[in-house]
Amino acid sequence: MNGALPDLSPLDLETDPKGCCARLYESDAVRWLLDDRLHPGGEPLTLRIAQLAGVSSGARVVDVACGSGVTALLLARQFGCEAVGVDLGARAIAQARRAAGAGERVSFLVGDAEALPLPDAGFDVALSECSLCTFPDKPRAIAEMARVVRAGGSIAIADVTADPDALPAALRTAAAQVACVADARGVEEYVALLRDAGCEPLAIEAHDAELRAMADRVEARLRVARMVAPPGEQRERIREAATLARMAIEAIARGSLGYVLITARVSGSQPAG
Amino acid sequence: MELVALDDVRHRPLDEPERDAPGALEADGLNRRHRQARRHGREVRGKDEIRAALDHLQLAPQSARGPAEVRRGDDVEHDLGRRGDVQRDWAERPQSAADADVERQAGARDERGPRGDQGAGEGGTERTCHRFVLHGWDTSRVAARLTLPAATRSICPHCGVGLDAELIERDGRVILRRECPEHGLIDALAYGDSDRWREAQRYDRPGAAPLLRQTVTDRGCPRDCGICPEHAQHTCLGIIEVNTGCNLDCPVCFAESGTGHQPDGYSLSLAQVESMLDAFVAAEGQPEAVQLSGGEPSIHPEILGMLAAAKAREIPLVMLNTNGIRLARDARFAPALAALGVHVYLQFDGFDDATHLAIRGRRLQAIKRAALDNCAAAGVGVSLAAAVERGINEHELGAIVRFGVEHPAVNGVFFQPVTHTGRHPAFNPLDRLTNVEVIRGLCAQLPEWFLEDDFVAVPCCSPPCRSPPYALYDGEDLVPLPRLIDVDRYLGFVANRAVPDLEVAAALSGLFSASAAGGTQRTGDRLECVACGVGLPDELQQIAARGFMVVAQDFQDEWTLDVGKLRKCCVGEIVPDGRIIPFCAYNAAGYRAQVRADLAAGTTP
Repeated sequence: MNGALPDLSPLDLETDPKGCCARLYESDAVRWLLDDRLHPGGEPLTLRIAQLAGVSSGARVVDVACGSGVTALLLARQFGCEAVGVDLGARAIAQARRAAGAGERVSFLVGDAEALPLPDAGFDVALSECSLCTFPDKPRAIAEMARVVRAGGSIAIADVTADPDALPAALRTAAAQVACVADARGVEEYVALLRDAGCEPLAIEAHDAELRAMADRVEARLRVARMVAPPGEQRERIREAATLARMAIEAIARGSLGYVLITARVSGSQPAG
Repeated sequence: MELVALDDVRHRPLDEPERDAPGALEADGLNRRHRQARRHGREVRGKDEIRAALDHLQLAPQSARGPAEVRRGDDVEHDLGRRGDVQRDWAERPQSAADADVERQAGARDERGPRGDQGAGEGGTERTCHRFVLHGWDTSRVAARLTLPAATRSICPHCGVGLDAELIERDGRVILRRECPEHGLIDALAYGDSDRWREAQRYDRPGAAPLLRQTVTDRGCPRDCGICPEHAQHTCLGIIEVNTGCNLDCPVCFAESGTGHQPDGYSLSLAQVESMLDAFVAAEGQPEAVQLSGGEPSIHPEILGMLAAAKAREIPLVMLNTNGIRLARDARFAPALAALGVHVYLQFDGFDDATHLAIRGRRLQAIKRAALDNCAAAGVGVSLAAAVERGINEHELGAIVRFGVEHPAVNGVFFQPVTHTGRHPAFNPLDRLTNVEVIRGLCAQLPEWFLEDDFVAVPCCSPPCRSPPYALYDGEDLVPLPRLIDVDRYLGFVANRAVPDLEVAAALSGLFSASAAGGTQRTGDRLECVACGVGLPDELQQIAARGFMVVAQDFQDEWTLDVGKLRKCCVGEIVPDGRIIPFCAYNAAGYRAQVRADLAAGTTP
């Protein structure tokens, strides 16, 4: 990714937050800011939640909002499971299909998390990694995950947690929504959403330090981008983004923002396996 | 080479401990220090007192980091300490007209040409960023200490006798413990956080050997210095103390310099310094960095000639360690240094009157400012060097860095916890500052710029000694390099992962070396290579040339001398007979007093 600083102009967030979010995570700018590590904790935390969810060889896993397929590919290769990725971004899905080697047990579909293009009860595990917080209709999205998982299978959610009342106003804007902050909920609320969908929580693990490390990285890159951006509108925009990142870091330090792994069993009589 | 200090070698088997055999060196050099310790230190003599002292200490907060991932012998070992890139850098260095001018002014002396034979086999110069080369290294020489307790050797701070010692973990800190037959149990704080200590050990690397061994193993470390057969590291930075006289009488001075009469004081001649530089070249082949120090070297009448002599030996980084008084008052001095291409290492401890009075005995703020402004006007690069002492200027760490970032002459800050040798205030050996406290203080005072994890331990010497982060800065903001790239991975410290780019790794290892200084051409080249190699935007590469360096560097004294660290020491004091003595041994093991006595007695060439 050597070359010029990517264009960090904002996308139109107000009209289509969901689509915008998907597009934004496809953009070179965001990939550069995140240093291609699109969620906190990187691979180790992905493997951790897969382990908590009981992903094993032969399991069928769906990754909701899979982006360019990194997690689906990782799980398929690491666990020998079968993985399906769904994402709203057509470009990301195309990229994911290119990344998948011949003979790998992965497939990718364009689709909406609130209306998964998948049959009922066809999976052992449904995973939503750092994406539930960006879905406008969270109960619907969780109900969809519960629908596509067989009874006794599990739902795994890795996401930003927030105490919305403790966040500064600037972190509750549309811009912050795509950064998984503005519409993030507290752990209790995620758990309640899962229970409402008939799922019983199995494990809850806090990983705030990983979120902090990611925010630190993004903030540092924004500040470096500010140094090299030509004076004018773009430099000011980057400066504002860096200020937002700093607010997020302070919120993490205060405990108003965090990152959590939650797994829950989809209701039904038989245990997993 | 005539090694005066070794005249009284004792004949005994090499493996016999020297526990109760203090020689002439100890008798000479250490009785005086014994008195000082009684005068200055709150002495810690017995177990009961130690326990009592510990009762008031706060527990250090635990590190948030996880356990170290890498294990010795993992597959990504590279010799980060070797200097394969130096020759290429040199090949690109034109002799500047200004250098030649100053050399002429300094008088026509022994004109030794560049050592053209060296590096001839290294091939041509490439004008890409792919200039930095790593060499394979020998893992069999690893002597890493990854766990506590760890056995080592030390000395008694009261009588100087060599003792078996142990690094132990207590209350989350690392304590150096030994028992002197005469003075009892002696504990001193070695490192302020045991988790961080263990983590720093991950960065340990087998040293790159010097070309030359100067002494034989006889009495055991630290009694065989120069570079002895057991020393595990070449010398990245050589120091020559050209005089003992000074234009200040600081209450804190490990060199015990001053304005008053110095019965054992000395001032080296240009010829002596030249022969010492030659000895350094002989030991290193191609030295990376030399610093002329003192005393106060700027008051030496031949200092420019000495600096020119260092430049004439093509040492890439030549530094002058100074208090700045001459830079402030002599308008011709900074331009003369600029013409020579000398980097200034400026004593700079803070801003408060109380700081200046406690450490320097005088208010020097205006002088420091004028010195820096003169350096900026002349184009001389400056590193600020702050002696940091508990209860005196701990609160000024952030202000010093911020000032440095904003001042056009400054491109680095070195924080050095006060070495309790020579002249120093009263102190508690269990509550001294180590790098951990300095780094935490800085992070607390500049949270917008620094995190503890930004400070990466230097692999070329013992990791707990030095922790520098490089940073990109533009006069308004500063971003530490480890925040932008995965330094651990590039330096090969992540288990079971290949180093992504060996050239970037070599450039990085050059940055994280004791021979580096901010703002120099070599540093700029290396930062540019790193920025390019890790995909930072092209635009950054211009900024990268202005890398800012913040270093915490904890030198050892009689209380903290740890032979395990000393063997990896890469900062060497070059003494008139040509030996290179690890800086901390020079300060703590009696060599300074010995050299002064020899010079005063005229027994040194």
